[in-house]
Amino acid sequence: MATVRLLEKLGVAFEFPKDQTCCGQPQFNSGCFRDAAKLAGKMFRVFKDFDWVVCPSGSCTGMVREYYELLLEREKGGEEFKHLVSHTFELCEFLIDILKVETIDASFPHKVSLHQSCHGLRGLGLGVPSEQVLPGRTGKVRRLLESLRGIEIVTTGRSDECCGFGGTFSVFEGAVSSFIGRDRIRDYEQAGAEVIVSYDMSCLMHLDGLIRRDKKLLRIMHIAEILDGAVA
Amino acid sequence: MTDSRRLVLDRLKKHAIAGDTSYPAYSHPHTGITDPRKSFQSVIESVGGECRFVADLDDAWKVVAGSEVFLSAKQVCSYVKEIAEGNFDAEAIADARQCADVDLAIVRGELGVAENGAVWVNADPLRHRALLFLSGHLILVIKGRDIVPDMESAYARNDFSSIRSGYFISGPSKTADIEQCLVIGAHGAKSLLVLVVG
Amino acid sequence: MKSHARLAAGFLKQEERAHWHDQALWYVREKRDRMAASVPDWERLRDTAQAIKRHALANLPHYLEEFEGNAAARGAIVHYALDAAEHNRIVLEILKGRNARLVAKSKSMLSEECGLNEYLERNGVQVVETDLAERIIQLAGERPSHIVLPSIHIRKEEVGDIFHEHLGTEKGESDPTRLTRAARTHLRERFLAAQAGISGVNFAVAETGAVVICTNEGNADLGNSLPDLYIAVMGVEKVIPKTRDLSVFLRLLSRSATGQPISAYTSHLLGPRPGQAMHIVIVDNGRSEILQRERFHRAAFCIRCGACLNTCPVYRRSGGHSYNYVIPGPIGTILAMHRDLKKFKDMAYASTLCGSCTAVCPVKIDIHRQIVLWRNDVVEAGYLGRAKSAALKTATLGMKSTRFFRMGGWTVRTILRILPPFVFNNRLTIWGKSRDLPRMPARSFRAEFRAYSRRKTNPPELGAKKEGRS
Repeated sequence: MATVRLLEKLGVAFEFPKDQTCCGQPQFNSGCFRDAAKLAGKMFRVFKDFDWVVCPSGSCTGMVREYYELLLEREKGGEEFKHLVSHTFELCEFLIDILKVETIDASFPHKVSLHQSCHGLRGLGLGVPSEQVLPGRTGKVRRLLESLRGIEIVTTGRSDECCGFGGTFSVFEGAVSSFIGRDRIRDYEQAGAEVIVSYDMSCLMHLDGLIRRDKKLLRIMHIAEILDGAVA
Repeated sequence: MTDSRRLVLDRLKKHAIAGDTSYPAYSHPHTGITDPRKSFQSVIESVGGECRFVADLDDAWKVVAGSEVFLSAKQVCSYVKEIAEGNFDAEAIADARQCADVDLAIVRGELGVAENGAVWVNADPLRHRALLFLSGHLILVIKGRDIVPDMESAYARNDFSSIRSGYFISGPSKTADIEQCLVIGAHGAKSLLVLVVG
Repeated sequence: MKSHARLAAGFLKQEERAHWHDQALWYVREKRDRMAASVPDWERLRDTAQAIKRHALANLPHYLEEFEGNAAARGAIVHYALDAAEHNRIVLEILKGRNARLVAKSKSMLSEECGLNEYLERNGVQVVETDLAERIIQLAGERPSHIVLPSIHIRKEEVGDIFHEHLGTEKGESDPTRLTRAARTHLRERFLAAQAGISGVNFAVAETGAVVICTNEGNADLGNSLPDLYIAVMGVEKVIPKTRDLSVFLRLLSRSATGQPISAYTSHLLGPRPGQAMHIVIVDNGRSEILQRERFHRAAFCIRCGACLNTCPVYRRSGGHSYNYVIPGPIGTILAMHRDLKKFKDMAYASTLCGSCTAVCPVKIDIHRQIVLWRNDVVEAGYLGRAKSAALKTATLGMKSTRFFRMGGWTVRTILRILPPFVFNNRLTIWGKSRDLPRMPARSFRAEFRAYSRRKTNPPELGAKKEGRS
């Protein structure tokens, strides 16, 4: 809902097509391409007539932009398909690249750790991956957050290590998944974070599950919640 | 055996590499190096070696003569007679294994590479290339004007096809195989001094 | 054969050790980052490296023949092996031909892949690994857990124990310098006594017939210089067109592998030294098949730097021995799948698909993308496993129909809110084993959105769209 309110505040005219279900990522990541393709097809049909598609999830957006071509063999040459793929944006990049909103005139006086979820970071370019040598580039999400008054973005030694969720990985390799997640939480905790923010709910849910199990004092927030809450 | 050769080569004719597979034109000079001599020296030091700039061969001899390694060496094998004579003639030995106790080898290098502190040593003048790795310590001598910024210029500068063997040597031998603790001196030289003359 | 998931869970039981292993490898990744950042053209170098590989591998027969011709002109004897068995036979034949009983061996992942050491030992040849890490694991009776740092999983006290038993070092000695000195003395004897040296090859230059080998210890060079017989073994994909191309690969290799600007020794051998017989064994063993796979051929670009292992959050926390293939980690996974899809399928699922591997690969192999594509092959072959398949099919059914999707959502939300937490947050449920289940909102997104829209005097119109949470 935060995304809804935020887009409204920014003056965006939008609709929530009620027929939508899922982008097909869980199926795709498990290797069930045929099942994923069915869901991708449905998504294509539901969304193809719109100018833009905005999604508050780096991984779902990544699914459309990086892998729909693979799944929708028949549609991939068509204009409508190309339009969908090139006009599906994650929320933050929609704000910055399309709405040209680089700063949010609001305050959020808290210590925040930015968890740079993998798909959005490396797949969509929402940030600057630590593996790459890209001098002079700054991250889009980071820029939005930094514009909030009073915010302190605490840094950790591993600026973009995975949270360990990985979809079905969290179930089938639960031990590794939780171990990675706990390492992330410890890093954020030691850096003094009050809030862990990300643009991907799946990472946040995974970390939150561990936070509550271990009774840590951290709070998770989706970036839409922070931006929405900050903007009057 | 020749059947396998034909079979392997035939199999490799088929491939699924799509798109442009032409040989790329490229040029990647290391633009981050503004002072090659300084970079060269600092990289050598960062990998556990030593690099000294000397004006001429006399100065070079002074450095060698004053070095701990030279003073304590029993067997010194020198291929740079203008700097030091040495007392061990590896050229007169038939079996390289007899060089196993050489304490110090002084050898000429043809190039120095600033980006990685490597010295290119053409081993053909040495009867036993193994000497480079058997010797307890190594001193490599290059000319100042032979320092190039990067590997690309190194490969452009020299002829790497007319040799029998050659080595880029950067620093002394080393290993970090035991708990990532760096130990200088694995199987090869335990120390490396690079003398840059002129 | 235990799955990666089980082996990894076992690895993680020793928490302190797992953290130590994770930290050790992360440190190598950090060194790599610093080195990469010091080369302004880093990303373009990667592009060029990939382009050279694409060209070389698209013209492999031509370049192999050129390499062979030049190497032979220098006096090297070149052999071709179809597979691992033939590779082993050829090597043994060469050794027997010169009555070589003791081999000083330098690291070669190809020889691990072919099981060379075991084969030679069975046939009366003693093989001494001379790379310090390889020697440690050889004495310990283990297989390497990393392609560049084979003994990264072994602590110094354990090395001390191994050396005490096999080298006669003092009991309890764990100082790395003293242990290394002991190994130097011990291995120096073997180098001097060996009748043959065997090593792998980092790059084979077609233009000149040169074999290029990179080491830090100098062991490969003692092994290829002292004995009168030297055998270099290489996969077909090691050949590169020109000497000049070395400038690209050598600048990427060590920086990616260990965070060094270059290895201590980069040896260029063009034929045998005087009085020596030099053999080069060129091996296919499935590489030609990899090259014919449209989606997977880029795996053959690999220059064996190991950067993908160092950067993988899963590899760091499970260790090389949790993977059943000779090469572990991300690159190991996409190579193993070629070897045997059914046997190694669990490796394909040992990934969160974070993409860090792809980002560090010096030759830009799309590793994480290949991993998910391999998962599709596993599913199509019917190897996924009943439980996983059933769960996913149900999910798909639920998601295909909007009605079922909404019903499913309602059910999960309601059940999870009604039942007490302990029903799910316990050791018996897979999710609940180590973390709490997510808190469920009272209403679905749709319901919230409807209520929100009704409250407003001007409900949102058609125009831009939003895919929401449900």
